[in-house]
Amino acid sequence: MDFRVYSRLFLTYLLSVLIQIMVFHNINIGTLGITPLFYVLFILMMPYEVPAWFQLVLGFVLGWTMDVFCDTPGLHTSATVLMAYSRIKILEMISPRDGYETGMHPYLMEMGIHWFLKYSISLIFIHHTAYFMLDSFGFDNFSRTLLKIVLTGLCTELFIIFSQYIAYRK
Amino acid sequence: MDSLLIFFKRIYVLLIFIVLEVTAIVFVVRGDVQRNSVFFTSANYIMGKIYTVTWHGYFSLKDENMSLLKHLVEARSASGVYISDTAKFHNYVDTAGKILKYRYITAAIVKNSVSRQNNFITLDAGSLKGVKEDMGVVSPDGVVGVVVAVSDHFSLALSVLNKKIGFSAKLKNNDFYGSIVWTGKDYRKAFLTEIPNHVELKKGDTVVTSGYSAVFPVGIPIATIDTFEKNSDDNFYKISVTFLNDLKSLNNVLIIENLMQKEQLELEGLESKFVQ
Repeated sequence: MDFRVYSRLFLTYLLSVLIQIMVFHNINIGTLGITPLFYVLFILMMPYEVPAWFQLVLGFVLGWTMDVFCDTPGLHTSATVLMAYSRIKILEMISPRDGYETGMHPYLMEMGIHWFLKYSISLIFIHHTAYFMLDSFGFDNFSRTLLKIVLTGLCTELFIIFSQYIAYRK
Repeated sequence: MDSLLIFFKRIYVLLIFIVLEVTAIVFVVRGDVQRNSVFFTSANYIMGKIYTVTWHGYFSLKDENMSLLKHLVEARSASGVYISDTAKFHNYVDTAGKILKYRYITAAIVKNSVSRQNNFITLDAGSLKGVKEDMGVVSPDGVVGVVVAVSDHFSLALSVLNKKIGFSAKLKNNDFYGSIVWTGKDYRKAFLTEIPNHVELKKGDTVVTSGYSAVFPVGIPIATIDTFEKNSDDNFYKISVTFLNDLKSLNNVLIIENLMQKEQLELEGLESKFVQ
């Protein structure tokens, strides 16, 4: 629709991917090797007015880009597509009383910390669960996978919240 | 017709979701990086370039220098006898006695991971430097992985930290062989399988490459024995080992070319002819 919306979208995409590869891929905490998956910021920050089908396509594109960088055919993509679809549903579930207006963004500063925590935590955990379950491909080592989902999820959430205070101020 | 259209309008997002998700999962199920499909991996030239400009290599330069110096001293003292003027031997083919079997190519690690179930390492040497598939990758401390895909300037190696293939290994002091299989949990730990119950073991025994695989030369250190216990249900030990390499802080590696790999594999391929 709006050229400005889409140029901003493209910029977010570029930055999320670059920051993930150049900074977060070099972080490896503890023996579990926890690497925050910060690039999901792109899906979280998508404006409301992007049509649903295009949100899914964008999720696919983001996941595919990460897969190319990480040599993991399909792994990031499955997680991001699921996350993009869940986002549509979750936005419906937690919509404010008057609905979403054009010009509004899913940013912490605009929607409030309460709304943003519900929104980001649920989506990040959906993404991370899909990612780590597919990565370990089954239920062996289940407790370890679970621990990894929770710890990585918390790390990602922390950095996403930081990003809100740094780059998405009013 | 109208109701069909309305129905379609209601579920088209779900349909698109299913199509995209299934596509992605098909790729996951079809397995890891396919050979010869470097385009989809970080061995791709552009991707590799982006990785090379990231900063992580610079922090460990000091340690790296010390380690190189240490190994240089070791190599000097070990091979003092053999030092000769290399210029003199240019183009000289040694046909008397020993034939050159292994060639080494140096490479820096561009990307590394330890947190997945099958970990890959991207190296900054590719086919232009003579890297080919199935070459072994080692660091001064021990085995790192095997090259699985190559582009002009980069190559992709399957790390020892993978659940797909085991590495042929043997005990250094009594030559019993087995294979090293990663636990999948800790990047420092692995199992050594197929060592029979009657062998004498000690904590701290070194495990080295067996040289049977046509990838690694014999005797490259891999790990040391941590704990071991006898298994009552079969005749093999359950041995847990610790990698000598810190696979999380690697920077520079050597890629090993076995010049006789093809010959050996061709000969071994004849096995099937004799067992029908």
